[in-house]
Amino acid sequence: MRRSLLAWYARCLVRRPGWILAAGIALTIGSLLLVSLRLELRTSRENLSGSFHQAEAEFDAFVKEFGSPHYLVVVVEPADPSDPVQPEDYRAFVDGLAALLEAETEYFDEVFYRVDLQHFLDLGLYYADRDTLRQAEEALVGPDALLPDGSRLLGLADANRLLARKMRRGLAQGEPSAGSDASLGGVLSVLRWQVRFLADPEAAVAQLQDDDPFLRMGTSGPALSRDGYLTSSDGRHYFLLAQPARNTSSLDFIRPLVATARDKIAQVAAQHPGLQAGVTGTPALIQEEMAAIRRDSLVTTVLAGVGVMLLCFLAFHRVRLAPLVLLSLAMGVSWSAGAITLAIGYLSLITSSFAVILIGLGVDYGVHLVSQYEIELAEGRTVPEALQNSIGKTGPGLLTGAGTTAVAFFTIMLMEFRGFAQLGFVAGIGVLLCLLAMLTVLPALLALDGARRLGKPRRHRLERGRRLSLAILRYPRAVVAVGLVVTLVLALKAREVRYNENLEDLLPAGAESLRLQDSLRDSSSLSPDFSVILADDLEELARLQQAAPNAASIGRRESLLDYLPADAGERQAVLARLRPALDRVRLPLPAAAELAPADLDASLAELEEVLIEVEDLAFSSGRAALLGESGQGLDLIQQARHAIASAQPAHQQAWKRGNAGLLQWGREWMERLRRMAAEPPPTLEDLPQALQSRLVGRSGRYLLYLYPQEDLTLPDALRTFVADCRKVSDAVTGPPVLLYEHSGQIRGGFNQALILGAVLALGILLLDFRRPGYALLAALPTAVGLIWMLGWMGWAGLEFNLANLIAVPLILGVGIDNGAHMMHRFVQEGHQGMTVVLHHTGRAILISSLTTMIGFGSLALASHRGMASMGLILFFGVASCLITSTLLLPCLLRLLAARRGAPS
Amino acid sequence: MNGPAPVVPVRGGRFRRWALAWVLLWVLIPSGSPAAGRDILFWAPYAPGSPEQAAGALEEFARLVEQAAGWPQGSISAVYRNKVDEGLSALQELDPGFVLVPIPVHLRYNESLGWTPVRAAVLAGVEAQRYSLYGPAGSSVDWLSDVTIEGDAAYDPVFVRTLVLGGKYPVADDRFRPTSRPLSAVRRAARGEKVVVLLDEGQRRALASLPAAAELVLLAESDWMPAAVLVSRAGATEADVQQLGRVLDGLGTDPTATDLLATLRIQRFEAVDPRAIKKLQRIYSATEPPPPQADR
Repeated sequence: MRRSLLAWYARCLVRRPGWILAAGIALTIGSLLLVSLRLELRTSRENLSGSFHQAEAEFDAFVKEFGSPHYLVVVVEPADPSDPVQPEDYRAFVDGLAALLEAETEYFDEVFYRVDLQHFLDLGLYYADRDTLRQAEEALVGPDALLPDGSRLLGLADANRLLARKMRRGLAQGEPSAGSDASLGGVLSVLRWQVRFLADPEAAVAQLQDDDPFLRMGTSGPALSRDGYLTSSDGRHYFLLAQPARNTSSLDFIRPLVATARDKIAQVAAQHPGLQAGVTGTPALIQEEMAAIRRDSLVTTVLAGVGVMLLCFLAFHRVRLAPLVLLSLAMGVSWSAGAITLAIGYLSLITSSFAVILIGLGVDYGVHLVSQYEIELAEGRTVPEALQNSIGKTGPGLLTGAGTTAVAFFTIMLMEFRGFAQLGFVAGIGVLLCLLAMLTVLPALLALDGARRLGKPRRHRLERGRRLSLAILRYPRAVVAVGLVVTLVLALKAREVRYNENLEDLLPAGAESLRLQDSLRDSSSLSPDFSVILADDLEELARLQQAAPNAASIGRRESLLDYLPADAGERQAVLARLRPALDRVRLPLPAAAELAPADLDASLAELEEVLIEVEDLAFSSGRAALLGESGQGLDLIQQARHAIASAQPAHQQAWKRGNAGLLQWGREWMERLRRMAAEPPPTLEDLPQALQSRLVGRSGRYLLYLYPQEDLTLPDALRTFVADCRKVSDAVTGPPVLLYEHSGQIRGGFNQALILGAVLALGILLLDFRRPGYALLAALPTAVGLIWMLGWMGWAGLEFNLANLIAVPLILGVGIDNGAHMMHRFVQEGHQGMTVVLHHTGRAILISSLTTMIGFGSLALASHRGMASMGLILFFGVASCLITSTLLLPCLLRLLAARRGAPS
Repeated sequence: MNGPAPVVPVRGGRFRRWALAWVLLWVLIPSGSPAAGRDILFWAPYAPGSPEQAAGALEEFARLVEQAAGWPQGSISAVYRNKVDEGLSALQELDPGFVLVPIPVHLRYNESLGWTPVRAAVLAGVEAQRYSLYGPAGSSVDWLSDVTIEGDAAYDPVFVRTLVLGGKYPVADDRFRPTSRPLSAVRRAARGEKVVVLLDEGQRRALASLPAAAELVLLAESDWMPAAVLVSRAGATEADVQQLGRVLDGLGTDPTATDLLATLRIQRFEAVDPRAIKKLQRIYSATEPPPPQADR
């Protein structure tokens, strides 16, 4: 019935080609008008995901409380990495830039680059770790105090004896460090400092003055300079975080935002020639990605267009036919755009790639028709006869192929991830409309064109193709055997292909934002990868924070409780006990400083004796780390004692001056400690504003940040991190959680859609051929082609990612098209017509596959790695399906025919 | 009906018969072994640390075990002995139900004292135990008859001769010097003195971080074996043995317990491989009979 319908249609078309063309043109004009008036391009990434998940609801709540978390990060670094830059230059740069950005209220809400550390200098003892406080209490308070009431600390020798006493007490309890952390780190620091002091007393004392542990204690968050600026751990990079005024990824907002930031940076950089700055963070990454896509799209579209046109000119025996195919395709794409405008009304970042897909697939339908048309003409038929025959012979294959391809795309509509579901609709409807254009407009154009001018076919080419077909079919057994081996080998390799969730791997390799993002991750704790949990009150926050450290993949966590110690009352009581003891510690005036070398040497000898015991204990119990530390300690003592033994009078004078400096530093420290011990516990209002705005929401809800222990781009790291975060609370959200959710939606949906698509495609093939064997044979090139494609991907080290997943249904469509065409022609020609099948349909498949490979393969030249990987995968996939459908399938059919005794 | 009225309603005489049966069962079946039967002796000759130093951690361990086992609070105690004779005395005086011993001690006393391994202990930092003999650079096993062998496991010459030297080198007993400070022996051997040092696996790994390692050469090493075993003695009931085994299995996954075990230098407890122990015992007993000792 389908054949008779097609024959009737072909007869009508030949009689009235002008009417059909006119209808097509009218529809095109209507579609273009509709598109220009109503179709929007939405560049925002929001609303691409599907159903509303808890993580997204929580993320919205988080954004309401704290504004956009997608900060633009400015990284300030030396213009020449080998040049030293003074901290004041960095500070001037960052201060100047912050002032300029803060004025841009249209784009930026808040600019965060510095924490006021005075709070931690005043209340440092409330932030000291418990062990430090306990040790301080042990040293100063009670009958067993290491430094009993009235002790005089005269300098280094006393410090050494204090350490020796402390370690001896620890050894008596089984641990040299008195059970704190089983490490001699503290002892080694003192000894190292002492060796430095004996070599250069002034520098050693200056180092003490520079190194304030209370600055570190108070800031469990990012690394800070001494004056509170956000820096890298080595101090070579300063950071400024600018919060966008709107939480959107729309390019209409992002593009001017990034441009404004770059403009302000350029203004400030002009005044600081030693420094340069760049931008990273989500807005910069999006802007750079979109710029790369735009650039790449232009280049690859031009390349693809030129390549496809050249191929058509070379492939068709009458070069005039190529523009007719492309014109029909353009009309099909226009109709599709019109349909999208009516059905959806906009194109998203994902669906905007539909034109490329339709050019790649739609041109194939025209190639099949024109290829047959040329053969019919070459065989001496008139234009109307050639057209009727072409539609009759290729029509069933085209309908089945396009039908299965469209079904494969329509099944993607079942995906939860809305962006891809829309792409499924867009591509599915597009494929059908392109087929419609190729079955209406193209034959009409051919009829009109052929009626006017009928060129001569290039017969030598046809003859060459026939000889090649014969050669292929001469060795069917060998071809099938080689195909089987290749399939097995590539199937093994296919298992290595993984899915890469890391969106940053899609960007161009040399992108500035990517380089700075890596630098941010490597050199600071300002990770863009963080999960967050909102708590309604401090009790809930405390409970959540308690649960967090048990998870192995969670590294740092940060909340208000880090700055408001839960045990403040207990600490206040300890400080109350410490206060009188601190008052009683007496340090002599620097003027009275003495440093007796013999006494210092004796104190070191005491320490040495204890360390030898520790070394014995460490070795006996097989504790290599402790053994190494005690060995280092003994070496340092040797160095110090050697320095004392070989000291000249000038050294001794310098030591005396240094000791005076040490005492002065010690007196200042004692004074600070006494002041700190008298302070009341910190309250929320005391905290620096920068911390409050990061940790307390606009409605007073509290935030717990969870940072990953590992780089989330490592395999399995994201899954483990999100799973561990969920053990803390189901209400966890944040960029990694959303990425995980969306990746899961996409992968899971794709798998389901692919399976369903494959089943439906097979069903269509079954309905079409009505013989399971034929249906399976039609599907074979696709199945084997997909295995080959995955195998090539494994060889080439390619991974699936968010950008190239769509390649799989495309390959499914192309492969099924090929298989359907071959089998239809096989059914028409029978066993004896295998050469004709291969020569006629195989030729069309070769041309259409080459156009697809050129069209999609041009993407491989893109700088955007997501696009490039999609181009490569499609190239491999289409090439695989081409080989399996034009070599493997005909040879297999030949072998099957031979088994049934059919004449060859 | 004579006698006092029943406090609870009864049906005929059935209640009283059941009650009597329960009382009899209660009296006749022991409700649990005596408290001393559950005590644990940690006996590691020449191991570092003193019983006083270990007391705090062992007390915590005992409380943790009894809590996890559901035994009454204070029903068990754990003590540490690091001398051979003190360990033997503790067996007599404290009569513990369980003993944790390094493998050489187990092999030496297992048959005479009738112990039954319950669990193997995996020590911190090493998955399995191996004993090694290191001599000064240039030395060889032929040199052994003329040197002293020093190390914490040198208290058992039979163990060294059979399991470390494979029964091929009959070094006299008087050449063995047990010590709890093997590092000094390492240094002397590295200086070229006639000392061979016997190291366990943890010490062997620690040796690699010492400069002295370059001056020493490996002379012999044993096969891999469990580091230590927790054994039950005759006084322990089967129920207690089973219960303690379950508790020890669970300690490795409890963060509080693993921290405590770490202070005892234990990583976790695991099932004993009886065939491996039997094989070690066969080698140990093949050439020399174990010294006669009486338990009780």
